Amino acid sequence: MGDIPLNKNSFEVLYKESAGFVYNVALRISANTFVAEEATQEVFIKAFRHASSFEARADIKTWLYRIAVNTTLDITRKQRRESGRRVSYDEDIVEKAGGSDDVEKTMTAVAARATVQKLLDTLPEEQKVCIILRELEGLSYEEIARTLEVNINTVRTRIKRARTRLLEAAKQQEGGESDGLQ
Amino acid sequence: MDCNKIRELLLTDYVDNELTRSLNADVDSHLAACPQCAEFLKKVKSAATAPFEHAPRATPPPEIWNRIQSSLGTTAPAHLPRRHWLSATHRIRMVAFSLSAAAMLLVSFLYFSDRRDSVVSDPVLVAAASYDWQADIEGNGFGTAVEEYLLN
Repeated sequence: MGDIPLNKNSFEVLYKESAGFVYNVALRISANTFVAEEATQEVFIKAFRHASSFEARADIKTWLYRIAVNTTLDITRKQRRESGRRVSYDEDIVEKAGGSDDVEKTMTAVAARATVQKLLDTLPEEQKVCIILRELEGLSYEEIARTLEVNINTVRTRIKRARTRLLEAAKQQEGGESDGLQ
Repeated sequence: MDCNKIRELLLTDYVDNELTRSLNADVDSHLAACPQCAEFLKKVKSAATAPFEHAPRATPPPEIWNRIQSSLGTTAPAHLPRRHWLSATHRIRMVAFSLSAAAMLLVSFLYFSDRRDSVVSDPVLVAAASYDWQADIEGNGFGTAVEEYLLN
C-alpha cells in the first residue's frame, strides 16, 4: 500500500469502482479466470501510467472498457497461439468454489455463468464483445461505439447478427431436443 | 413499415430501448396487429436477451490489487510527481543537455589537444623533447643542442 503514496487514494478508488466491470468483461471475453486476472492487472497498470491525463479525460469508464476489451483480446489471442495454459471456465470456477460453505449457491452461479458463456462462445469475437457490452454491462449503442471506436451502425449490425445467430442456435437446439423425444 | 423492417428493429433498437418514442409506438402498433412479428419478438427475447438477464457477476480476487501494487512498486516510479518529472519530454531534455555537455567537452579537449600537438610539432620543442637530457647533464651540460639550434 505504501508503494503509491501520493495518488494512492484516488487510484485505489478508481480500482474499487472499476475493477468489477473490467474483470467481468475480461472474464466474459476470455472465459478464463487466469486471463481475466492478467487483463485486469494490465488494465490498471496502464491506467496508473496514464493517470496524469485522467483529469482531462472526460470518460474514464469508456476508456477503461476499451482497454479492457483490447487487452483481453490481445492476451486471449496470444494464449491461443501458445495454447499452453488453457483452463476452462467451468473447471476453474468449480475449483475455486471448492471448500466454500455455500457450495450449492456457488454451483448454481457456476451453472448460470456456464449457460451465458456457452451462448457467448457461439458468437464471433466482434459480435461477442458487443453483446457483452450491451447485455451484461448495459452500455448503450452510442457508448459501445465509443468504446470500440466504431460507427454506431456497425454496433447495430453486430448486435443484429449476434441475435440472429442466437435465434438460429436456439431453433437448432429445439429441433435436436424434439428429435431426441421422438 | 413492413415485417422485415420491424423484425430488424425487434432484433436491435426495440429490445434495447434505442428507438425514439414515436418509432417505438409505430412498432407497438405493428406488433398489436401482426401475430407473426409478435411471435418473433417472443423468440428473440427467450433466445437472445432473457438468458443474459440477471447473469451472475464475478468478483475480482483481491490478489489482483496486491499484484498491481507490487508491480507498480517495482516497475513504475512510486510518486506521481516524479513521473511528471521523468516524463518523456523531461527525459529527452535531459539526454539532449547531457549530449550537448559531452559535445562541448569533446570539442574543448580536441581543441586543446590539437594546440598541444602543434606546440609539440614545433621543431624546437621536438628537438628538446627528443633530447637525451640525462646524457647531456652527464656530458656537455644542460640545453646545448637547443642553444646550437637557435644560434644556427
